[in-house]
Amino acid sequence: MPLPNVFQPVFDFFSKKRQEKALRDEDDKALFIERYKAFREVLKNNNEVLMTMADMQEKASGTFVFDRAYVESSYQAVSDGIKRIIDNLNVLGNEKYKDLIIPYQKNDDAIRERLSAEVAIPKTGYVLHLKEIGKETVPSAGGKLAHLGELAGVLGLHVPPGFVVTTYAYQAFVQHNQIQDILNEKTSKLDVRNYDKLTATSQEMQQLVRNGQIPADLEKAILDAYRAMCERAGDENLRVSVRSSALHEDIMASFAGQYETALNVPAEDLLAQYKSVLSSQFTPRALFYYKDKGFHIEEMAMAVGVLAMVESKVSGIMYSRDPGSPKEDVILINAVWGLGVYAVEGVVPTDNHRVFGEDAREITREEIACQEVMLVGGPEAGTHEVHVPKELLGKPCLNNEQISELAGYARKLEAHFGQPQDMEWAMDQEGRLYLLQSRPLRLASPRALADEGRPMVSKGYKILLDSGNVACRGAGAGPVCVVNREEDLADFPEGGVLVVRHTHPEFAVVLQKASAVVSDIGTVLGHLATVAREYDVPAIFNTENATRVLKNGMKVTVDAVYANVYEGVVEEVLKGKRTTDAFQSSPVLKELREILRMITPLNLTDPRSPDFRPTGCKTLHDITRFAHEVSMRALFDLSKESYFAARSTKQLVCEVPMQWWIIDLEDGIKEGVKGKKVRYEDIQSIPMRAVWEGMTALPWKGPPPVDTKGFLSVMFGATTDPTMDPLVRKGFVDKNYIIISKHFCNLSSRLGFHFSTTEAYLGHNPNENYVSFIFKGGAADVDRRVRRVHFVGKLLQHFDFRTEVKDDSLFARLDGHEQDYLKERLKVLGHIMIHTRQLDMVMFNDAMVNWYYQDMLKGIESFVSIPH
Amino acid sequence: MVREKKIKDLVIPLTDYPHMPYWGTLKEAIVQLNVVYETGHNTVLIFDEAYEFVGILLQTDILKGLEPKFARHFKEGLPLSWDDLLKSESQKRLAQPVKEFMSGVAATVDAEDSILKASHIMLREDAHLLPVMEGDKVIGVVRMGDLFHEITNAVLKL
Repeated sequence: MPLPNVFQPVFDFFSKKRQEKALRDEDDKALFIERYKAFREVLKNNNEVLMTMADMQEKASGTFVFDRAYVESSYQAVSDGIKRIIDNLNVLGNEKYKDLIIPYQKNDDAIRERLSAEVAIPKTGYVLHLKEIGKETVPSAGGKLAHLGELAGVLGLHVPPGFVVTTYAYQAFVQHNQIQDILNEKTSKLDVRNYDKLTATSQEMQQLVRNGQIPADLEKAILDAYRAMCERAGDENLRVSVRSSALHEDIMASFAGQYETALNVPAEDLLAQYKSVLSSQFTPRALFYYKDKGFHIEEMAMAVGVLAMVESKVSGIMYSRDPGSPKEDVILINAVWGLGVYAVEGVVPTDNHRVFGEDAREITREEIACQEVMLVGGPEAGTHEVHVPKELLGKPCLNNEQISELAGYARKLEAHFGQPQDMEWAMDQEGRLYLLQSRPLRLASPRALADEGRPMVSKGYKILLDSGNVACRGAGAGPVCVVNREEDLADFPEGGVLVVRHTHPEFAVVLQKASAVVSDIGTVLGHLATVAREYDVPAIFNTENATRVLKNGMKVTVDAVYANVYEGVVEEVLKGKRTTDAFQSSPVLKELREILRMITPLNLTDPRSPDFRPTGCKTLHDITRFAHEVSMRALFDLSKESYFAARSTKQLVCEVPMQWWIIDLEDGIKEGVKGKKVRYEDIQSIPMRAVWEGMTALPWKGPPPVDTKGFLSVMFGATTDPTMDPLVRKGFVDKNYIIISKHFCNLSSRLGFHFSTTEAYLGHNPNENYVSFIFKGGAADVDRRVRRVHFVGKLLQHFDFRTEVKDDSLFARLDGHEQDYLKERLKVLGHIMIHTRQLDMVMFNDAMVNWYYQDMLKGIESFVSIPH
Repeated sequence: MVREKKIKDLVIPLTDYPHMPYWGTLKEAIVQLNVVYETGHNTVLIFDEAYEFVGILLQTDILKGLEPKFARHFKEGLPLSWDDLLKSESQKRLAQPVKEFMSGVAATVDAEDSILKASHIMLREDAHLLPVMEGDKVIGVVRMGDLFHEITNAVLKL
């Protein structure tokens, strides 16, 4: 019988409703996928940012070489990564975390400002006399000449008369010729690892400088100063040496010998040699060092010293320490006939002397060389090689008094500059000694020495642990303090060795007090590792059984170089503990450390603190921590609230007597599976398969789940439990949903009267992996329900989960682990989900909790492989 | 006049009384009775998946369950040792669901019923324990011992 027309609108209405609903469901799925992708992006970027930060921290230890481009590109990566984290978190959390942009912007601005800080070249005259300068005038006079000025002025030592053409003059020269931009561009684009290009660029740059025109007033200033020097010396054609004196030349030992020095220069060549020395900033070697040490192009400003030529009878080099054994009180002096260049460049054999003890009482002539040729100043200009006069052949260049005098200078300079010195000296024909320069002596890094010097395993001490990954290099000793829960942190002793099962970021709060950190499990790229490096606390992670082997109060020594832990205090391990490396003064290292101070400190350690919110983030690290935490929650909420149309789901054919509906986001089901059903064999989601294995490992116990009707007719008033209501409305009542992809799984189930959600990501990178679990509800009285979640929590803790119980809800989580490790834990969850059904009923008292705990543990351990 | 006590005044609320789902094992039931021994509770109430009350598991049910089947043929009892008990098939039965051993619910009382009515039902059904209903909901149990105490007190006051 055809329907009367009068009902037609009603049917239209219903079908329209249905259509609308289907549409909405599709939107829901699209939205879910979009947010799921955003979530993955947050995790991925969080991981990358942490990796970059770890790398920067490692570089900041000073044991690695890097350049400015490294600092800039690393920071750019961190900054971009955090921006993406914030953007994606806002997609995921529906713009809830917009405020994160505030701390981000603030830090980003400050760091970028620091990164672009220019070194101001002081406004001075073009020329400064040697007596006007000292170590405080390095920015004007360059390192080498400033120190020479210091020798003369402050210490009253004998140096050749002269003056310096300042960095300000250099700036004037560059501006006059308008070459700064070209130099900047060429330097910044330079790939110093491509030698051919380096040489070509170097030549172009040097040419630019050599072809430049010295401004008239600068030219006049140089020549005036030169003439005044001639006048004082009473020699109108005084020969001079023209020496480079760059800003960092003497600060960084590695610049030694990078720049040109012209000897025996006559008046007519002075200006050309000036430009030539300026251009030596751009020799391939110098460019390489500039880039490699990470100087700013603006810092490439060179002062040039013009010093009266010492007609050297003898010259040489002197070290105030033996670099090979810096602790010994010994001064090394070598000497050659003629100009010192041959000594510096090692062209001829040199006389070598070791001077021991105070007052140079003990002079050892190690070798008296047989030097056949020497370098001398030519009659016109330049230098040339001549034979050593016969009467000097095989004779020592220096007598004992001269050696003692030089040694005296060495002591004085080391004391004055507070560190070992590397000096050049000369003796004129009359036997007067001059110091030509003094700069810090490069010693091997104390840390490197200590590490190389000691064996991997110290003999005669008991090794407690000998495996693990070093998260922060160093060594420390102290009493063991095993921290299992956050509550234990309160008692953490000053100088204690923090021993933890997992490297939870919450433990960071005691790192300042800790002398070392050791963990069973944990990644060296995690938050705690970052903070350990921040505080320079030696750390070994992943030792597997530290918490079992190390007992509270036990004194141990942690060797976070070779990843060993010794019983007792092992002095030889601790020797190389801290470094105060005088040679770690490169500007780029300093800069890296400064920006890391704005990046790595972690303030948001406790997710439950009221400060755990966007505006509570003080550093970029805080932002990543915050985002990581809330992204998990956000996705969890999302999976809980989403509802999918029947069309986009497939029912799982299985023996577990529950209805399971699969929503495949991406590659979770094998290709080619058609229709409304899918078999377990066709599932290729790694985490889902693991959960399922756990669910089915032991036989199903009990009846099929209650249907909706049964659920609503509950006798005990569970329906009035408000926490249960949304589940009923959200359609979780009769269907259990599993949202999967190849590496992801979100499984929501209601079994009996409890609801649980298991979510996991199991990829190839441990840092991105996690498992989270929520369990709540029940229909027994509240005491029994609470006992059940405590029981579940206790089980999960046994399997390394972090748990939190609120009323009858349990939250558990594990992250940052290998896929296989988490797979076994997912099996545990699968088992618990299925086998705790209505178990709240039996939880009469704590004795029951304990009994079921033991009983279920036995069951679980029969099918998982988790060593404990 | 003093109000005559009703069953609801004597009821032991369900929260204080052992109960479990019917698919729980005999062993689990024994464990529960074992841990509640001091309270004097000696019966387990059995529910289904919808929390419908389906039966009770008495001490006699449990002992019967543990006894080897062949023992039933011996009127005078058997010279059984503990070892025999544990080695026998009773091990297997410990893992079986309590559904297999429980007694049905012959009778219940209403929370509003009088003590005497409950006593009468107990005598009629030969039961020492009755589930107490409020509408179609079980709210707890009432024990013969408690009824006895109330009734005998009243008798002494007469």
